[in-house]
Amino acid sequence: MKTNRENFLHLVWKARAAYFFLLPLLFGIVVFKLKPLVEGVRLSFFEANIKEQVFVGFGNYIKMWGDPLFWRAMGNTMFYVIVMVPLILLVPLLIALVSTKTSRTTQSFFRAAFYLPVVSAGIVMSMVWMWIFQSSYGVANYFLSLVGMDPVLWLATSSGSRLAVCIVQLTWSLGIPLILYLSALAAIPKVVYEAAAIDGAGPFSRFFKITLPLIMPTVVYLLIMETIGRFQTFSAILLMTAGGPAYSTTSIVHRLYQVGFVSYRFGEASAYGTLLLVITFIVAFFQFRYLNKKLEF
Amino acid sequence: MSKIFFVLGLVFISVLAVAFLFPSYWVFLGSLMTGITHMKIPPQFWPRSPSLKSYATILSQGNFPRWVLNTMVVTICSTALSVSVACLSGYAFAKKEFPLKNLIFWSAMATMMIPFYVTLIPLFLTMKNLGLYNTYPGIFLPSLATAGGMFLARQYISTLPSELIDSAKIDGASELQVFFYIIAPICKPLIGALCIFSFVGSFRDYLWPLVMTSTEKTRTLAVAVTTLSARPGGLQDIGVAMAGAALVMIPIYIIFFSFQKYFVSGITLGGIKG
Repeated sequence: MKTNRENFLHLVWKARAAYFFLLPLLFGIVVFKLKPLVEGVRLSFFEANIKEQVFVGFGNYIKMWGDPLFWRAMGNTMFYVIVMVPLILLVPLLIALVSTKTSRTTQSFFRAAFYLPVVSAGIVMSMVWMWIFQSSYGVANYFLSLVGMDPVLWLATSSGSRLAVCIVQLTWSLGIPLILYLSALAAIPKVVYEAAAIDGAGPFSRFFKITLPLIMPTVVYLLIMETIGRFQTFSAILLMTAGGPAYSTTSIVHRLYQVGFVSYRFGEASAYGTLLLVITFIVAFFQFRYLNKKLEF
Repeated sequence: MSKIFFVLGLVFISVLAVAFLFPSYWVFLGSLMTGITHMKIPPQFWPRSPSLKSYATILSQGNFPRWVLNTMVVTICSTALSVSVACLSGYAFAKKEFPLKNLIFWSAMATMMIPFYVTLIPLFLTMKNLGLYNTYPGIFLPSLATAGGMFLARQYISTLPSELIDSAKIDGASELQVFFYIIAPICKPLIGALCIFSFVGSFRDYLWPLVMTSTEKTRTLAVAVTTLSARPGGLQDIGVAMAGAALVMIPIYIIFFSFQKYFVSGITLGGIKG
């Protein structure tokens, strides 16, 4: 036993240079990720403002549970997840499948077109969307009128603003899945398709029997990351709708922000944060478990 | 049959691509219009009498130089920090063997799954307690925790031949000399990609600088332009708001179009969000 430990310490000492190289990263992760994480869970059991903290047990959670705004935020967030995740998985796949059949230049045009909104600052883009969605002189309603549709009161009604949040959020959510799909598709060897063509497989059976199984790891990765990500829908809400009208677009993270940085009730806001953490864990756990099983045919 | 589907698909994604590019164009168009031209129906799709008045309004704000300075300081510091931390740790994980390596690596990777919003309030309180509220380090120090950058660096450095390191060691190079004279010079593409990601990420960052700053002393450009003419749920002067947006977007677009290749390789290598 003793020799084992000595051996271990000897190995550690021998590799001291490696630990030295890791030190800044580990310091950063501990101080700016792990400590705040633990602290956030702890705070959720306290009534806290900038000056003082009082232990209240599950008080914040009970308060959150009884708050109608919490349930609004939960409902809206579920709506965002259910509407956006399938679109974020499917539309980039369609774009990738079509654009790989075009020339290299066209392909890079599509990649750039869908990636540009990703690099554009979300908050800055939401300013232009406020103008586009303006109900009387916004260009969105002008386009609708061109195809003979009635104007939509985008940011003034609950259904309109919820739709607006989804549209705006989607504009900067397709670029990364597209790039990942394109590289996954490019990795499939051409001979596989040639062999299938000789066997007389049509385009649909080629897609479902060859392409889809081969890009499945990318699909699974995106499903996990995007589900977790859409539970955190926030940046399209913060400035464009501010959660309104009448809290119809507020989300879990938007409530966290409002309770924390507008009302300065840090304990209650941390309860929202802890809930988000739990949701993230559950989503990751179930999707990893369930999908891993399904992947091993 | 499949030809028809291809053509339909191509039409669909072309329309979608134009729709996705449209808001960016609308920002620049709006920034060149003044007064009530923003509210004309039918809208002007081309600036008939372009004017730089909205830009002049923002540039003549007494605090504009300060915002630019703040943004430069924060962006450069956070890029320098996160890129060097990513390269140092990526090198250790790629080329060194040490006890608990896998445990430390996967723990670091797992922290990427932690939602930023969970740590927002405690991080804010920590900074406040350390006296870093409304200071530059308060804004840029959290970029030390760059597990994504580390992963990208590890992926890149592990493709380099280990013989380079071995032969340098035989020649008597120290650990630091190996890193700075052997590894760093051949990592230029990696460092370039990391710099671009980090620079763009920090330049346009909004929420953290927003809660971390209270005065013009440290306010960054992205935070300043949104508070200038936009209130939650509405815009005051559309021209000024669009010019502000354009001032944030122009540097980003210049970087994006000059280094598009890096963005693509960065995402496919590390799955980092840009």
